[in-house]
Amino acid sequence: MGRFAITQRVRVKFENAGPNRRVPDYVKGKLGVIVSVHGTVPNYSHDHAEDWGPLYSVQFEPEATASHPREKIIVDIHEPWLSDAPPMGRRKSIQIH
Amino acid sequence: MEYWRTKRLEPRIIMLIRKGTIAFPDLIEASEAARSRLEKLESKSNLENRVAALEIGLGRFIRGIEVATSIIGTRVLVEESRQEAGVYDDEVKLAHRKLGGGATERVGQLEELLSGNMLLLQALLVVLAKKGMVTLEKVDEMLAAPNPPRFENGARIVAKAWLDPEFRRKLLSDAKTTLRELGFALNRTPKLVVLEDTRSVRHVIVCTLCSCYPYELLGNPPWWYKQDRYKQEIVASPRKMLEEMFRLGVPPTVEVRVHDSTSDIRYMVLPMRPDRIEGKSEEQLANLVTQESLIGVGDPLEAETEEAKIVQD
Repeated sequence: MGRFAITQRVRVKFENAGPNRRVPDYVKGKLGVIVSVHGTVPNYSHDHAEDWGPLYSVQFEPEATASHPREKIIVDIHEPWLSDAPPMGRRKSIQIH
Repeated sequence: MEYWRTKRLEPRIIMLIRKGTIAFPDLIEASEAARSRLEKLESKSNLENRVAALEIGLGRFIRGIEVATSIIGTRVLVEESRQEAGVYDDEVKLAHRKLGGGATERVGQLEELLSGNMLLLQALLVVLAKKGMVTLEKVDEMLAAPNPPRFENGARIVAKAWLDPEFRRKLLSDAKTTLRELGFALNRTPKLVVLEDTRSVRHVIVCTLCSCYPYELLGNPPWWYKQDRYKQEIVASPRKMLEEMFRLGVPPTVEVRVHDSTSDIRYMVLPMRPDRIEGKSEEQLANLVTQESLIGVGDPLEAETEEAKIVQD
């Protein structure tokens, strides 16, 4: 399937990575948690001729500083854009800049 | 329309010609047969009717490309490079033919483009039949799609899931296979995921980079789905956005999960079943499901007051 598993923490790369050239700017550099593993999704006839790599749903906290605690943003991201992140330590914040 | 011509129809024709499966002269020879297969456009006087006819025609064009693609069956490489988009060099970029003038002129030009595109598409289908890849009867059967894309499909699916726990279970675990069994082709939908709302979780769908949406199942999204304001604010401050734009207050105990999609996975929400639906038929329940509720920014209508409120700002 892919390198990452559900509940694993990952960091989104800043630089363009992999055949899928675009990932939303607002998650670049952020830490998130894998919540779904989808494997490689063939999309030849519709959107892209190349494989974009295994796809994951990654969960983040919303941007706004005053956001409600029960709000999550889940972004579908291909593996080349993700790197390993240390497991959750004492610090609760998963937002880094 | 130009998007579908440059990105979908012509690359397929060019690929077939490059591979020697068909040749340009085949298309020219087929043009007479193709012309006789074109549906006569009724001459409509009123502009609104002409626009409506154009929309239906565009739907037929897109459906026709889909049919041709399923006959050709091979991978088609569509170049999506920045070069092709004209980022580096205006000269080499794929050009969309320009429309000009007022509304009446533009509608006339679109009608002309559409009839040209349809002629080419039909010529391709005639040639494919001539090469023995398909019969024209089969083509016609495929063109008359039993389930055109529209949000009412989603409403029907939701109503069925409310009534049938086994269907709901299958829908949530593998939506595409389950819906194909129900007669939705979903050939252009790589993966479909249905997200179930519960008392503690509300799902909302967005595509911030473009406008990915389950088009093939639900038709076109509502106008606001493509607006930057919706895209930006729903991921920055979901509750605030739902309240401000959709007048939807989410109780503090409910978690809002906003899903930002790519073209690989299309999402649809299975909203919470309204109360007091005992004895209602699937059709009656489907009438309660709004387009907004399939995206998660609204609730289905209440069972007693079906005309009550349609979430619209």
